[in-house]
Amino acid sequence: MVRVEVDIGRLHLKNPVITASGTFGYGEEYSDLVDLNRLGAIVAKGISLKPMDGNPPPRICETPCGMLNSIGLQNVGIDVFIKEKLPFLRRYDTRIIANILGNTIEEYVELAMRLDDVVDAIELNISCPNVQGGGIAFGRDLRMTEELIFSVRKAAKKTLITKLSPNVSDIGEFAKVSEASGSDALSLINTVMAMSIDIKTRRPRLFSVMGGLSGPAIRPIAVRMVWEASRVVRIPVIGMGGIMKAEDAIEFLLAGATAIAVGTANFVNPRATIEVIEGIEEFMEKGKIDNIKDLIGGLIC
Amino acid sequence: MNERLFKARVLENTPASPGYMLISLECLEDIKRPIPGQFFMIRLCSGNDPLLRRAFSLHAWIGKNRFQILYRIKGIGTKILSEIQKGQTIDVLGPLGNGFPKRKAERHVLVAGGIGIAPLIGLAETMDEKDKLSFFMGFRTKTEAICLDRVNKMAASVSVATEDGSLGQKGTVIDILNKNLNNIKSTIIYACGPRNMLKRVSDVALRHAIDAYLSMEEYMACGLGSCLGCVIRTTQGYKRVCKEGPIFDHREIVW
Ligand SMILES: Cc1cc2nc3c(=O)[nH]c(=O)nc-3n(C[C@H](O)[C@H](O)[C@H](O)COP(=O)(O)OP(=O)(O)OC[C@H]3O[C@@H](n4cnc5c(N)ncnc54)[C@H](O)[C@@H]3O)c2cc1C
Ligand SMILES: Cc1cc2nc3c(=O)[nH]c(=O)nc-3n(C[C@H](O)[C@H](O)[C@H](O)COP(=O)(O)O)c2cc1C
Ligand code: FES
Repeated sequence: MVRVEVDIGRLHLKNPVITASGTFGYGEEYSDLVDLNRLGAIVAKGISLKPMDGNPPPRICETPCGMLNSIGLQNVGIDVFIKEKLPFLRRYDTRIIANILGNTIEEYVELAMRLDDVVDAIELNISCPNVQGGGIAFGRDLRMTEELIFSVRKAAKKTLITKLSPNVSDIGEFAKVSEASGSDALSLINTVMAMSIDIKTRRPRLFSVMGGLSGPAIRPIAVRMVWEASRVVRIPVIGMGGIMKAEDAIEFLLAGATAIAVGTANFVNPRATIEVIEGIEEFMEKGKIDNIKDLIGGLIC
Repeated sequence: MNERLFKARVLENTPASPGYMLISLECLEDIKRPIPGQFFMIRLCSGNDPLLRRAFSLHAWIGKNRFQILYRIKGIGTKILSEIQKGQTIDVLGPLGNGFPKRKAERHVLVAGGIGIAPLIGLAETMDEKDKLSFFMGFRTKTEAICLDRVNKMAASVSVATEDGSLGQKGTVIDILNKNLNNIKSTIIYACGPRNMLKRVSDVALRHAIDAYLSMEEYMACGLGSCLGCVIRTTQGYKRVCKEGPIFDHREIVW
């Protein structure tokens, strides 16, 4: 038996495989396809104080080895999340992480305070490219990132994860500031700002013109950023971006990620998370690697 | 247990008319019997390109764990599907979404635009009162007119329109619908086709104050209700085509 448990701050995970926010709904949608008990953690769809409608369609389009989305954070809002979505997730033996998004620091703080007692960790989404204000407005500005994390840190006891945007020129700076302001872990990357045009109609393929690119197309960017970030901080990094199978996940672990999240792959192969867990264990058994910690940051260069 | 994610063997995959194919599948596991109007998501590539699954409605159920899909070759995904050989297995997710409701009426009017005929055949086959069935079908041209034999065998009345007049009346399916929809007490419409056709079907239904159920389409990633990519605007806000649809009461749609 190989050992695959990892720790993200004070959060202990039975294995390093997590679902990426917005790609696994509230867990229910996958419960007949995936044994949710086997997941290291589930990150729920991003939530805000008030329910949000999201952007008009078309909201998604396929691109080479990936997809664009501009969902615009459609979500049920925190009240319905706590009352209707959490009880279902709580029936399973897995960790539940809430992904939160506000327009102001006060909104993030209120969300964090209300969730502190009912979830296992909080992921601060400061990197959503698909909403006006909030989200990426914080994640692109070092001072705002600092102030936001600092304020939420004071308000919440649970493990605090900051989800970083790849749409910045120096990810290392944001990683360092997040750590210094009290973040227990980092999550990266969110989607890469992108665009696609229908040449026949000369129109953008998304109603919102720009959207976020995800899937295998962004994996090398994500691996590079995980490597850059994990080198400059001591807090653990959750790596994601185009992970489709175990080999991809192992690449992130070697680059320095302590845990990994599976996103777009859930759409293509609903059982991707389970296959990644099994594949990592198999890889370790074959390579006689007893503890996953021997893979993390194991890049030779 | 009924699996929603399963492998299916291709029994046959043959042209129905130029540009249209009929594929018959045998599921290797027991699946839940789909209701007409429900759909499947098929994975067409074990690699990463094309990445996303493609959505196809149930065309017809042909016995235990066997069903058919009728599809139009549109782009890369449907091209790959058209090249899959008899005997190969494919990765399928479904049945997904909600099917057409089962209702009683004096007359059931089925309106199809082009490949929109696909789910309506399965619907007609499961209806008890075939003598109350009227089919209205629109195609661009004669060579694209599919399923005519099957429809003629099933329905009490069949009307066809083609845009170029090469078969049936010259014009659109809405033209022939408008001409023939008289005496429509206790009529229900079921329609599938391009969005602008569905909008006009809805106008017709509104004018006559009758019920119409429309099979809607939108770009999809998951088919499971998790990505929120496939929404359309309704009177109760955005709804997911894959979960609350693809069949909608026409009065709900905000066009
Ligand atoms: C609920 C539902 C049921 C459907 N049933 C049928 C059916 O029975 N027979 C049939 O021929 N077609 C059906 N379609 C349409 C079918 O899904 C598209 O024609 C197909 O996805 C085109 O893929 P492509 O790669 O060949 O085309 P491309 O144009 O190359 O596809 C590019 C991308 O756009 C998406 N896309 C393109 N057209 C559509 C569309 N009309 N709806 C949704 N996504 C689209 C594709 O999935 C792909 O991600 C259905 C669509 C939906 C949503
Ligand atoms: C449809 C969709 C919705 C998403 N919604 C959210 C969200 O609500 N909050 C968030 O932090 N990230 C969201 N993301 C980003 C993913 O969590 C992930 O960071 C990104 O997609 C990269 O991973 P992947 O390539 O494996 O999908 C979303 C991504 C997609 C494709
Ligand atoms: S296709 Fe993902 S929610 Fe409908």
